[in-house]
Amino acid sequence: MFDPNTPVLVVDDMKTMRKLVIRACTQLGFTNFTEAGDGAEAWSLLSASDSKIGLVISDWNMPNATGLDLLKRVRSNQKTSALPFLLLTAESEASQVQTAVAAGVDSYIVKPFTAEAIETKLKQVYAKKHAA
Amino acid sequence: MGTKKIDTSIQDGANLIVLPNVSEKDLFELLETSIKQWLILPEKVHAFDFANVSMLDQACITQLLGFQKSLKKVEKSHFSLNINPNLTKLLKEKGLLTAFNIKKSFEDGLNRPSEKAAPGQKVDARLLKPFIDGAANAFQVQVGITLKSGTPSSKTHIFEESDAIAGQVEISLPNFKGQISLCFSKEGFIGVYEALLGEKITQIDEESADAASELLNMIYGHAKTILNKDFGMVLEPALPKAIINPKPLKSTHPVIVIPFDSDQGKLRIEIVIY
Repeated sequence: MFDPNTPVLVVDDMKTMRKLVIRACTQLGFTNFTEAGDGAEAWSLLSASDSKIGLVISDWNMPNATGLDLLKRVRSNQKTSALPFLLLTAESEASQVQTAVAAGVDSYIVKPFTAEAIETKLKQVYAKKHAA
Repeated sequence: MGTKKIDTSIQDGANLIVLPNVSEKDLFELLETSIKQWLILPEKVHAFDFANVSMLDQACITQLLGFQKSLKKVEKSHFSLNINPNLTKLLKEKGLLTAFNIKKSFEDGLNRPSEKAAPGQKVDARLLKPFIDGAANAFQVQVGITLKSGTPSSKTHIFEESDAIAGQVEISLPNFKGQISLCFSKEGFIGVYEALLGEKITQIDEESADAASELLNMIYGHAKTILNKDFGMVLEPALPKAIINPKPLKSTHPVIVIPFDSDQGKLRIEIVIY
């Protein structure tokens, strides 16, 4: 499982959802969070030279730059391309999942979610990253 | 040269669809986009006005027959108006006159009281079920509250005086627009917010208000997935917003109401399609 000190970037245009994700991740032991209100703000944090972000949990459907836009930028940049990236979505249509997988998402969390659901996904992502 | 869109309006409780004067290829494409959306409308009767249509090719006929079949499945009906003699002849040759249910006038088509939609009548539960299930799931999993849904009905205005906040999502497609709202009283919302985040609030401000949008987002996301998959609709993702102290607004189209009760009080989903 991820080191609980891993800096987590939580991206969502809705503060309530950022709080819910942080609350769930805190229950899992994580302590270090940074928040962004959309994909553009998130990218400016991730691309900063001193960024220590080790895990991104981002909403999909946001104004300005969406979670998918952010994911594509992350994957196309050498410095951030291997970052564990989970997308949060209120939809679970097969076409959406395929789009996210094609863009290089590590996993996705369907809203509504529990802390246990996030934990399961994080364990899967950690195992996948460390098996590679 | 006709416009490349299908004009629709709600008249006397029926969805009046005026087919445009366009090529059969364009009509096929327009029907393909529109038919799926008409199915979600609460109106139980759909009237096709063929006044601008000189002829239909087999592809368009097949689409219209498919729509008629879908309407029958959900116990809705249709009739056709202003079909010219040549098209009537073609439909007769194909044995489709009964299927197209040709009427002399709009009034003649509506002259069946059991099929006439009006505010207050029951609405199609199958199309509302994804919203009811989505709400129950969102509140149970994310908030830890069990919702009990009441009987859906329709009314002629959006929001109620007692509403302190509503999450709202706008749906916009070429031949179909609508709004879906999740409405709370002040006490109801504060109770839900505290259960959701474990934070006490006494007033609803912009920061807390987005909880209403986010809960609606989850409900809409669930309903959209089911409606697209099982009913062939093409609903797109949409960004919900929060409205603090919404005021009742008269609607020219029926507003479908799904009431819910919970330990934290009552709440409603309101759906209006136009």
